[in-house]
Amino acid sequence: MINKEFHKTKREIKSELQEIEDAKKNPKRFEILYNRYHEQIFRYLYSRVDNSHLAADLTSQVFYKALLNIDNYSFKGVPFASWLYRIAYNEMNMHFRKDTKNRTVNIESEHIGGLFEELEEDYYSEEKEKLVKILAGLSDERLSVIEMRFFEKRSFKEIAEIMGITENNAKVKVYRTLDKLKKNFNIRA
Amino acid sequence: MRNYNIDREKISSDEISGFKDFKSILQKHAQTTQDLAKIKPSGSVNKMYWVIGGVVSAVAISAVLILGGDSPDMISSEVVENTVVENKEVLETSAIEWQTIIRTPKNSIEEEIGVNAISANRVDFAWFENSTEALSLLQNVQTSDADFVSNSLVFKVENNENIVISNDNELYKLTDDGRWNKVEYVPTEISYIEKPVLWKKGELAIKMNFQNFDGQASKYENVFWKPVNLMDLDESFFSTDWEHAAVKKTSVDGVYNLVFKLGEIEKSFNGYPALPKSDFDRAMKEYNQKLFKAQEELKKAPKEYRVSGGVYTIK
Repeated sequence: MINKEFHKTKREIKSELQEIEDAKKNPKRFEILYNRYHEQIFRYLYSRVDNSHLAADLTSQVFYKALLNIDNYSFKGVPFASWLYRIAYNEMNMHFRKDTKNRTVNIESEHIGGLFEELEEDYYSEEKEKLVKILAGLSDERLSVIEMRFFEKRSFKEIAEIMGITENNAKVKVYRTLDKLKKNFNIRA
Repeated sequence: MRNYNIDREKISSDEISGFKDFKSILQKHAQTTQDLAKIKPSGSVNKMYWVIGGVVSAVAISAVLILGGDSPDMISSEVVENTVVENKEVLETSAIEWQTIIRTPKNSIEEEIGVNAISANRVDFAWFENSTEALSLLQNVQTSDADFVSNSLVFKVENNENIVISNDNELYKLTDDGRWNKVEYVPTEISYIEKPVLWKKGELAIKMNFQNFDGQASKYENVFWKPVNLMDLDESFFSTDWEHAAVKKTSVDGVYNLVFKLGEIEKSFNGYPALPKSDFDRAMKEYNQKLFKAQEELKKAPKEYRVSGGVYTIK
């Protein structure tokens, strides 16, 4: 279930740490990291907003903040990618605090089946929209954990790193959200 | 409810790549670094920032709230930076936002609180939805030598100060163990409104209208003065043809000193005005209206606190 896109070998991590150290000394060297993660961060944000231009603005802001703070980054178990996602998560939250109307839920049909399985509900295509509507009504935090866990296939560890919480806490949040989804789904049945 | 899309058209890698613009990020970074270099380094001056930031913030908050900052506009980041760096134009801003300026030394607390809130040796911004979020930030700060200068959310009071805040807000003080304790507000008392007193037929009282009496009952024609102490109003007050009579307020609200003179003779007693039933009913209606109005005004009035030194927030 876990998305391999988010995992790196020790060698890759070591090589990346060197690139980070280089970027600390010379901001121009940050471009390597920018090129590597731009698309991932863009897609992460794009799946939560209405249009590509807003996603592009937020992505740009994420990398600007990352570059501004790169001196503070040191590898203490949190991979650089997760560090970027955490900035993106915070940046997105800050943006939507100011403008809640643009927060959108973008779902692909292929992910909905898996969510129905988790909810132990039978999947009928006509129920799809009902579930999506319930998702769209969740709080930002709950929606985020569902998106990360079931649509982006992230591990609990990654979710925890991005949200700045413990792994156990991430698990609790996911299961509580599933519980709520299930209740809401049955209430609306 | 949010908007939602099912199976939205996918965006290609080429399209995403079209949005890439590393050059502009680099330029923005260079500009920011240049601006931040103008900011004084932290260290021995930290306390001064606290003092200036705290006092200026408290004054700004008070001023904004007093001058009617009910729906404050967000201020620009440029103005906020000026607040910290140059301490100017604060009183001209009308911002009460969950926005805090953070100034922190290098290698500090970014890991715990989210990297976009903190930057090393520079000023940056953090937004909070509520005081709980801010609390977690402050708890982290306690374990470091980070320095906060707040524009609105958190401010420091060095010594005893008067703080005036909007009636919609509550004031909280940060305790040593990192909790926010609500500062109890002792409401201002309503100004004294003279409550009408009923005079019943047969009750001992002297009926008299004084020219210099301007109390609540003065608008009524029949005012009866009942003595505070019945023994003070003896027969002589009624049997003597007094040349002069006057009334003056005593130190007790609603109680007057009535003085009567005839040549060298002077007699007085303490009493209060009372009204016969018909006038009393009208006076009571008026009294209730005044009392209600005063209570409503008190509810809306800004809260004024006298606070000791410490870190405070309003919520």
